[in-house]
Amino acid sequence: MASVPVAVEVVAAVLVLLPSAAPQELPAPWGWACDEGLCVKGVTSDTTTSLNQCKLTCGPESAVWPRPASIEHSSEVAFFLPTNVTRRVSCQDAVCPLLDQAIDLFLDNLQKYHPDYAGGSAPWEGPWDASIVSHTLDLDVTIWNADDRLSLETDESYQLFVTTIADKTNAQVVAATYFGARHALETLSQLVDYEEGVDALMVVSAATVVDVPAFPYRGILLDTSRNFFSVQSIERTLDAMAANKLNTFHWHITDSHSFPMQLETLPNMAYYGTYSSRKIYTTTEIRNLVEYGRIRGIRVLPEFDAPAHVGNGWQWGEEQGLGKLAVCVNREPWQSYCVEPPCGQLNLANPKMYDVLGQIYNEMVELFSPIDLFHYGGDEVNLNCWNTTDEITSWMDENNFGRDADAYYNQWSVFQEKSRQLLTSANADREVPGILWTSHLTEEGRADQYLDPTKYIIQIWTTGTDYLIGELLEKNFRVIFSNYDRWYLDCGFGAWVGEGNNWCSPYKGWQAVYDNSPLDIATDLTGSAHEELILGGEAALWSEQADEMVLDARLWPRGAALAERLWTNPSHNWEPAETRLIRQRQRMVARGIMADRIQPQWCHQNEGLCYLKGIHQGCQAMGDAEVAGVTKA
Amino acid sequence: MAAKQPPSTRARPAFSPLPIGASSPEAARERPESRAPGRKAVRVALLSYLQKLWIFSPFSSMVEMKVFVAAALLALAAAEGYFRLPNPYSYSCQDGLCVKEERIVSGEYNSLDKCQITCGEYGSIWPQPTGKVELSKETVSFSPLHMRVTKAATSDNRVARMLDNAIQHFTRTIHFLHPDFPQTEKQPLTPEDFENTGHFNQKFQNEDPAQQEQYRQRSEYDRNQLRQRPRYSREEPESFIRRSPFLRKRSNPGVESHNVNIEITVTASDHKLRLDTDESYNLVIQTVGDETTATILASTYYGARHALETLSQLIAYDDINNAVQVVRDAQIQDAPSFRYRGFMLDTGRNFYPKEDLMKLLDSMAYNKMNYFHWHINDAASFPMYSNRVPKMTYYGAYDARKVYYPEDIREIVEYANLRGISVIPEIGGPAHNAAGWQWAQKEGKGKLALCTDSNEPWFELSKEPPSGQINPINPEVYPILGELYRDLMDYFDPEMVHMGGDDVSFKCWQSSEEIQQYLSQTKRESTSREYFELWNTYQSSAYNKLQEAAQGRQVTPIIYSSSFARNYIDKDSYVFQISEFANESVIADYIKNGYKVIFSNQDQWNLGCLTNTWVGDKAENCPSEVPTWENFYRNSPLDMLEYLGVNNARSDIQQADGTNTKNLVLGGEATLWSFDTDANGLQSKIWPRMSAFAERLWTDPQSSLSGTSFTQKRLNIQRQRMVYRGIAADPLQPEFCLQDEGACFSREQYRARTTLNNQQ
Repeated sequence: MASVPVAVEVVAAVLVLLPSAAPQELPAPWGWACDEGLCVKGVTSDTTTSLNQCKLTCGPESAVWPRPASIEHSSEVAFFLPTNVTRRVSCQDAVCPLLDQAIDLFLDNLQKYHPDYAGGSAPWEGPWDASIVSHTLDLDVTIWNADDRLSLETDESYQLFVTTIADKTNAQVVAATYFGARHALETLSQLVDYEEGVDALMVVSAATVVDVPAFPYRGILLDTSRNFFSVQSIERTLDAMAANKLNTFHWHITDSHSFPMQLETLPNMAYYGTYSSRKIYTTTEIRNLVEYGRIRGIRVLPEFDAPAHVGNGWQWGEEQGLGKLAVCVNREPWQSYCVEPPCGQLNLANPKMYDVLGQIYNEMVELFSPIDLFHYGGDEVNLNCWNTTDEITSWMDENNFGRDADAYYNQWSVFQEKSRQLLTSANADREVPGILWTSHLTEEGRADQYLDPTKYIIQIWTTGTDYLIGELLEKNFRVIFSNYDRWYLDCGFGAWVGEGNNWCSPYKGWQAVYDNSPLDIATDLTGSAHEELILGGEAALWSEQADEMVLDARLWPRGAALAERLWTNPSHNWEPAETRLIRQRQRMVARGIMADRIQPQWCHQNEGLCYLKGIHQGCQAMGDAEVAGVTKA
Repeated sequence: MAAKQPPSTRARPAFSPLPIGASSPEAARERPESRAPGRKAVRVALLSYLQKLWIFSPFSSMVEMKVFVAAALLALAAAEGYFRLPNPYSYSCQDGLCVKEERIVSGEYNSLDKCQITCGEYGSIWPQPTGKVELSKETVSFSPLHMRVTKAATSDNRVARMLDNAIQHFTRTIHFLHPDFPQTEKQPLTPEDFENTGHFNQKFQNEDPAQQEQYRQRSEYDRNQLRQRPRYSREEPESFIRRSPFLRKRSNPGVESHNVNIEITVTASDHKLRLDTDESYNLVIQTVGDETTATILASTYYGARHALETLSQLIAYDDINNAVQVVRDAQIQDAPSFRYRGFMLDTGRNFYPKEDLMKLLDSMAYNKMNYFHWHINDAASFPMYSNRVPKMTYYGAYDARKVYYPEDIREIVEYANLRGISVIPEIGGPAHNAAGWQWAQKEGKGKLALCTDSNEPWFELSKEPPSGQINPINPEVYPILGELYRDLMDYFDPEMVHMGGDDVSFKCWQSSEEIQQYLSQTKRESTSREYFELWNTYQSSAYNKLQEAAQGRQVTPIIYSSSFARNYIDKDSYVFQISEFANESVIADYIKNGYKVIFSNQDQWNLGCLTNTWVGDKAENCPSEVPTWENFYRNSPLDMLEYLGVNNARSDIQQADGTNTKNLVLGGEATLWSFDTDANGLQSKIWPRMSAFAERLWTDPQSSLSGTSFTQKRLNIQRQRMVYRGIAADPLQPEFCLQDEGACFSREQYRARTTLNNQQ
């Protein structure tokens, strides 16, 4: 390196003489070289590249997250400018406008790789040499069928071929559906990055990706009742989900705490139930979000949780002459009537309650139309609430239902069946699978007594070692995993009622999220993986202790760890995925997602060196006491 | 007082009749309404129709009427694309808690905001004042455009300019109360927005001006070369007010005619915060007719700034009048319990842009915290641009954009001072050093940092990756340290400098051939005693370099507690930061031996332990349970000392040897080590847990947490307040608990409350 002696002189001048205004050598003194799949930092030389370029070309998966089912790529890159992207598409009917929007999003994502991107554009300044200016990235997208709605049967697979000849890089996408094609564009965007040295983009010059998800249901749950989340923050969440090829936004829109959903025929629900007049989702906003998700390959799945987890918003029944629609609303001490304050449960004894519920379903089906799944909630019913409410106990007695626990479970299952009928009729008599949380109804020996496995999908939130999971699978229920010991993202903070840490502590680090394998859990419990029954999984952000201030950092990058588990279902644990996850986190930050840091930036620049003690090769037993132990001496 | 000259009330012709910050409200009002006028007209027409209905009600009952109103307004909302409704709930203050009730049509309406600032002994003031507090239960509404400073008496020009800035800042926070103020616009009041207060006009180093100019030119050149660009677009001066929704839509005439006058008197000319600065203040609010006057009396700027902070907490949004409301009459005397209420941020492991640090300083000021301990570099990176040794950053920064240039640092220090905060820079050692030191070896100066080879397993050599520790026997180290210290003097003009002294690894030195040779040449054994001596070589040389750099000014070093510190460090020259877990018996030894200490118990006051899983499942220095806000609140230095057998820890009485325990405990510091945090997660990891900490140090409440629900309630409000001001604080509870104070109780709290009610 010829420049080193110069640098010596400069520094000598700084220290000994008056400093001259001579510039430092620029740019930074470090470069990266690819060594067995890891980018190794060293002094710049002819064999080193920028960190971005190394990350793009070095590892077997390039910088793609989640890891594709199959990927091969060259170690070369081609430089181009984001303005030099052409498109050619082959598609049908309603798919074409969708595809146009997907390509626009792709182009916007390319702009966002520029470190000085702000407000929709970036200052591309060059100077560029002629080969960069003339280079084009040509998109060629072919979609076979006309599906424009996501369902559990949708083929999300795609093939992507990148080739470079002279000053043209061709990216050919072939997919059965729009949803596969948008995933392909997402993958392509991840084969691109910014190159600081030339102020341009670079794309891996050749790649072949053949990709298909492991599970059809890959979700994130957001609870907008305990705390409110603005429409903008939900859109940001959908953006980040799209970057990770997640496909279901499970919207736990209401609960006992607040009712932020505007209903045109039932204005009192939000009037009584919202935290404030600004904390409401209007019907227009809801429709827009459903469409916003669809363009990004995401189903917005509504949940209307009942018969428990209702309360605020339901207070107006008596004034309107409908009687009590919900009982135990805000009743105290809450410990006796529900799992967390405030309490509330639907009034099974009041037939008018079903009129209102049916009306809610009517509007929801229309708002989220067309629905392919519906979440009924159905968790955490407190029998003591019903059993201490005169109206309900006398109704139970009058009808000779009895008053023991089983009698109440029976009536709850009757409620569930009526709800299903109401929803079906709201959906113009088209049946859609219902989803229910694991609850007393799904306990040992009960599930098939109350619920029909052809009509219901069960979402599991008990621990991953719960015997019940095996029972549900053996009874042929289709299931979605959300076992709280790994996939609840609200754990690990201070308790919000009383003292100590919250109930599901500790915090679920991204490693725990990544390693949670539904198929392995099923195999451990039943001896069989039950692949046909396991639809996928979902990480849940219950919002007692989260609102839009902390949303991004709670969800990401842990949601990305979930995404690779569900898209790729890797056979290895988190360790080989770590550097790629950090890259994906940086990518999300560039796209405006306030994702949390998981390591010092040093680890990003020094791949493989932030290892665990046990992982380091030739690790010797060491006396912990002495290392850094002087302060404790 | 009598001996002093009364402060000459500086006549301030600059007081225009215009509201603070508004260059011309008329001009701003002329801006076209962004909303289509058609919809507005429809809305007005419908509202007046509804009002008529109210009078000539065709409805048989009020209930039907209400339902109709709700439905009609909702239809209207749908038409407008957004939703506005009167709140169906009203609040009343019962036993210090705001209780939610359904609003009665004819009854009085009390908003939650109004209830919060008037209910309970302290309203929603955080931290709780230590002196007399009287708050009236009534509020009076006014437009923030009619808030004026009618008197700002100080004999010192610099203090006058600082007060101007504090008032600007205060005024902004009042405008931020409007729920429609765009959240993304709530950025720090950048120095371009105010006059330079001249803090850095003085020359600290005896450098000739030509050299200073050369430093300036070179750093500017480097900065341009490195394409460093500001992250946020700069606001024009006072531009916040143009975005204020209060300006776009006026309130009703009664409210518009009410004036709020602020009168400030500062008697001393302090313009730099020190440990002995008097931060006390007196605040009186009086309302007569359509005039409310807030009178602030403080001996220093710092007290006056705190008073403005308290005043801002007595003001809330008024949703009925599109205005704000202030507690009608109030009287508050206040002074902090501890002199040092600090926060440490580590910018070595991950980088934080300047604007984020300014936002951090804002949020500290909202909680009346006063020391920012800036752990600038670590083994992972060296982001401080050194004028004298620029190679440190060249080799040590993460990348060209992740550098603090001298002018950035000066801006931050000056910004901090205006927020009542003193910055303590740290360039620590001998551990936690690697990045940046690489250049010296290339230039024949030998190894300055040891154990930096990535082929060596980090866990044999340090507490975490990357390993790296200063080579104490290389004489080249100390002149460079001296140059860095001189830079610190230039950039920070510090009252104190932190010298680190934590996590020293003897194994690192033990593994170094150079050290082993040195030991054998000087006929010494490889024992921990000799390593302590090596450490002492480093520490005493570094100390001398620091004092040389200080050029006669008093700069107090701070060092982390350790057995080394106890055995080798002169207690009168240093301040000791105690990182031991709460109630460890050694803590009492510091006090018994007369050390000046800052409490920083890492099991209670470490903010980094929320999600810490960056190598493995839980970092070793984190407790298995996350410290919650209650840990931060409860950890009381003086109670701990009493528990550990230090007599009269809470007493003001001088001991026989002339010392006083309380004086030895300067205060406390919460820390955030940035293993898994950068600017994205910063605010929510700190707040509101550090608010709890701030009240511990400002108020030092002596009661136990029996009043938790009251503390929790006020903390929820303080969190909400920070969110209004653009700080992304963590929500501790569902908003339901904020709106229904006391509904989210534990069994213990329920029992306590029931017993209380039964007794009454």
